[in-house]
Amino acid sequence: MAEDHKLWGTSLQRLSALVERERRTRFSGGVFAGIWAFAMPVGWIVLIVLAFQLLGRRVPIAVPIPYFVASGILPYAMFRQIVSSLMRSVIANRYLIHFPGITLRQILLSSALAELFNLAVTSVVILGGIMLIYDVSAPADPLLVMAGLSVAWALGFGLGRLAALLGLWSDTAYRIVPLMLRPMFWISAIFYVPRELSATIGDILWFNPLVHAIEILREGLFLDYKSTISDPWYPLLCAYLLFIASSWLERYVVSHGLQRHRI
Amino acid sequence: MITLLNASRSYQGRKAEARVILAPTSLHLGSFEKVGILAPRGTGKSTLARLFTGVDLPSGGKIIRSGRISWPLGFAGGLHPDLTVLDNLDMTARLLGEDRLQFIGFCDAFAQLGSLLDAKMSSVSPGERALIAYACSIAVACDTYIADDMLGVGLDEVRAKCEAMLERRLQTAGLIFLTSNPRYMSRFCDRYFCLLRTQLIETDDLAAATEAVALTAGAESMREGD
Repeated sequence: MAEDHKLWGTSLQRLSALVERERRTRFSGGVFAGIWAFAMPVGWIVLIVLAFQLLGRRVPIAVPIPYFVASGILPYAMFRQIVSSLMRSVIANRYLIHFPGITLRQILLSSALAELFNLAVTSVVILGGIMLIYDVSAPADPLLVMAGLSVAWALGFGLGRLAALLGLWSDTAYRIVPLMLRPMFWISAIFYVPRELSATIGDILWFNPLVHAIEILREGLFLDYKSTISDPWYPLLCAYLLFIASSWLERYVVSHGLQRHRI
Repeated sequence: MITLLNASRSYQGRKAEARVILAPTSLHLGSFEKVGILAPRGTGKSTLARLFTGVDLPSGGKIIRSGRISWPLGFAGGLHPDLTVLDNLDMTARLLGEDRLQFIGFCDAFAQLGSLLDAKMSSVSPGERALIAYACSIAVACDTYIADDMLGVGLDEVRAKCEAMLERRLQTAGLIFLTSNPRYMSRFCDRYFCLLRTQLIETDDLAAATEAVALTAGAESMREGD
């Protein structure tokens, strides 16, 4: 099969074309579709800031409330939106595998890369906007900020692949996965830091890989902030294991013809 | 060129019992051969087409494919409704690694798109959409074209144009035409198979293939009547 594919341009050319197609069609619903993608994380930030103010909750780090909330929401949005994007894309774009050299694997990767681009731009705009409005100094370590977002992306990609292939197989799985992910909003230290919780709960929280991604970003954003739950290798290992599981599932579903949609 | 080495295909599917589409088969289809495969409806014609194009993998054995093998002629699944016709053609050319200007130019000339290039695909009529899809598949020079029940689209003049272009392409390429209707086979094919009860059987000519399919269909309906 590899010999055939070389006759149709390079794998990188095909991937680049798929990413471009995904970017153009993701927001093909007009300007409102583009605004919606940006408005979702902004909406979450606004709601949580309002909740902070209504409940009189103090920010655990000495920074403006929106800045602290954004540090949790942006990696969560990166993770969550990639899962949704892959689940949608594998079904919406399934016919593309009829073109020579286009595989399910490339379709999923291109969607994840397109989403990475969109959310990276969204993050820069949101963080930049907050820094301007609240006169906050630049991130202490921008590379760590990028690392935190990248780890969140890797987690979203691994889980997104697995969820997408489960959704390709089963309508029940397609409906249940988003529901099962809802608790992640509450258990990922989005609007609190782990040190505010008891040691026992903190130990349990350690096993949530997304907490590590968020805390890594916070260490990059906030000067002198250090977390006990910011190990990059654990979430990357989780992402890798999810990727392996999804690869196995892909082979199983395709070879047994278990896709619920006709291709 | 496509070679089947004891290749078979069955589906476990969503029900407990496995459904066999193709029993273990070995055969060689050369690069410039024009092959017609007569397969009654529901016997796995499209599955065979997907095996030949590489979309589907055999359950057992191996399929060796070499050269540029097309996707099914007229396949429209790659056209996105929210993109314009021009954007769709551009994207298709990029996905195939083709020269974009040449590809778009060919499709524009073949389908006489004109101002339709700027229209959203969702606003294009089904007939126009089918012609655009056909233009995309015939724009690309392949070594083997795969046709799943469709050699051309549209009626009369449009269909004649499609078939004329296909004949031009087949001067330097092969064809695998899978169909349940033998009507167009003799014009384009010179080697014949029929798919009967999971077996891909070569016949001497089209008449033999047609007769074999009719006999099998008759025997099966008698058995169902028992």
